[in-house]
Amino acid sequence: MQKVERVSATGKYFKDLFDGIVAIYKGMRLTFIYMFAPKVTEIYPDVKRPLPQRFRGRFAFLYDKEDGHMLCIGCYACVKVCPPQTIVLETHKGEDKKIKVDKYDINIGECISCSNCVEVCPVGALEMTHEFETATFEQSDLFYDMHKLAKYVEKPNMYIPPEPPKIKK
Amino acid sequence: MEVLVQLYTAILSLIPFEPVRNAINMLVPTLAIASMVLGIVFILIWWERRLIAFVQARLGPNRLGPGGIFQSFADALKVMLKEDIVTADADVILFTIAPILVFVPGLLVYSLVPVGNGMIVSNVNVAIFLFLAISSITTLGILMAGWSSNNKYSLMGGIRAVAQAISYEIPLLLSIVGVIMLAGSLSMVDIVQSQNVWNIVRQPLGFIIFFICSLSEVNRIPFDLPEAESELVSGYNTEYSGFKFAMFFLAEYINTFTLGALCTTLFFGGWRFPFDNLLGDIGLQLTAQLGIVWFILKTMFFFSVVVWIRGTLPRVRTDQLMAFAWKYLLPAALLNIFVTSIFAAIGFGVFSR
Ligand code: SF4
Ligand code: SF4
Repeated sequence: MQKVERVSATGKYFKDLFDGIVAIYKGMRLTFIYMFAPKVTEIYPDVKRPLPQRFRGRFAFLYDKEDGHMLCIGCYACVKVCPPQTIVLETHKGEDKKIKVDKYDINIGECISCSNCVEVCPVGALEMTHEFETATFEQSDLFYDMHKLAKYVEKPNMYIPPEPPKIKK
Repeated sequence: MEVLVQLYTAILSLIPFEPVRNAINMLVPTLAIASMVLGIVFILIWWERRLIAFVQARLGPNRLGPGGIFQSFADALKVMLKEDIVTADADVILFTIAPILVFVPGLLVYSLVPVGNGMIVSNVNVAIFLFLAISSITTLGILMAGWSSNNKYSLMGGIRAVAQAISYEIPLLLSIVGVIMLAGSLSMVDIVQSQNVWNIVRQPLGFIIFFICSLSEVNRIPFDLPEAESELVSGYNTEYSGFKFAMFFLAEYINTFTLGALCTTLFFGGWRFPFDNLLGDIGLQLTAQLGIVWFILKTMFFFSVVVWIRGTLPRVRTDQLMAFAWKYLLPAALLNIFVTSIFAAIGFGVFSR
């Protein structure tokens, strides 16, 4: 059986008044404290927050820094694995019977930054960069060719995924 | 500041023709105060947005000018460039008059408020009555806007505004009676001059009632039922755009500033420096020379309190609103009059005139 507390109408009147004042006091005190609390807003274009190590922005098409040759061997693996199928690759067989890459275009507006192409590449010719401000005024500026995607690296080697961040206990 | 007033009087006395002089004497102070208020309103809009952001641990507009102070000018410019849309089947005449009827009384009442020592457009001897009479026209404008928009949300907002105004006007008037009794005058200048001890000391209950009721009168947040965004889209001004909307928007801020100005004048010593009569000559000089500065500082303080309340309290329900006015505020106001009149009759302590 629940005990029903009987309050007279007058008692309820003053209790309501008192409760209201207490509630307003509590709320006003809290907001006053928050007025001077540190703000959570990031002043984005002026102050950029550090990106995580494995951040996936626009990807880059790597060249060797020493002699400037491209690392891509034209194996079409990235073309097949790309979910939105945005990579356009054209090759031809050179006189030395090696495959030469003529065209390596992507539409950055279609790319979903999934990093599949980077992980599948057998020679590590692609890399995810930290660049993410790729908005443009013209739609045509979204098309990146291999020169626009170029990045020159020293000591190119196979793609090795960076160490995952250590989780503290 | 007194120098300015003296300079103005001197220049005025050079004009030979009596009617011309009178006409100029009406026009110049009115324009001066109207432009002062409109200038302040732009700062108020920015200040409200900043303060409400601080309460919510944000930064608010901070890009345009130092601390973002020009943001409201940019917004005003944007609003003026917008298309002026009139709803189909709207009552065009009322639709056009309504924003004017809301905006003009808000500015007009500043002719009755003393903003500094001797800085008042017209020192009417029934200033408080005139003030309340003029400012209650605003409600009519809101109802007009709601009715003429041909929109159910607008109409609902207008109806709510009237219901609210009727309930809250009564305790508002009654809470001022105590102040009038202590000053023995309805003139604002006399009321300020009678406050050797600020009225807040003598009328704390009256002040609380007055503050709550005027919050409701200017439709600020715990009582913003006429424009309840979550229920009525935007209430009475749903269908307005462009310059007409800007007038509603500015009127809201002007009215909030008026709230602060009235609180200052009636309960916090108007343009007077705190305890100026106790500080002797320095205090009197501060009051006389820099009256307008103290007035604006005090008014800004009350505006900030209103914004602080906006950041804290949720909107009340309509039945709660009515119950609060009739069950709590009205008896409290009557009690306040009763106690004040007894003390004033005995001439007890700070209540002696
Ligand atoms: S990151 Fe993903 S979507 Fe973008 S090009 Fe590579 S595979 Fe395609
Ligand atoms: S997977 Fe690597 S090597 Fe193969 S085509 Fe793509 S970029 Fe070139």
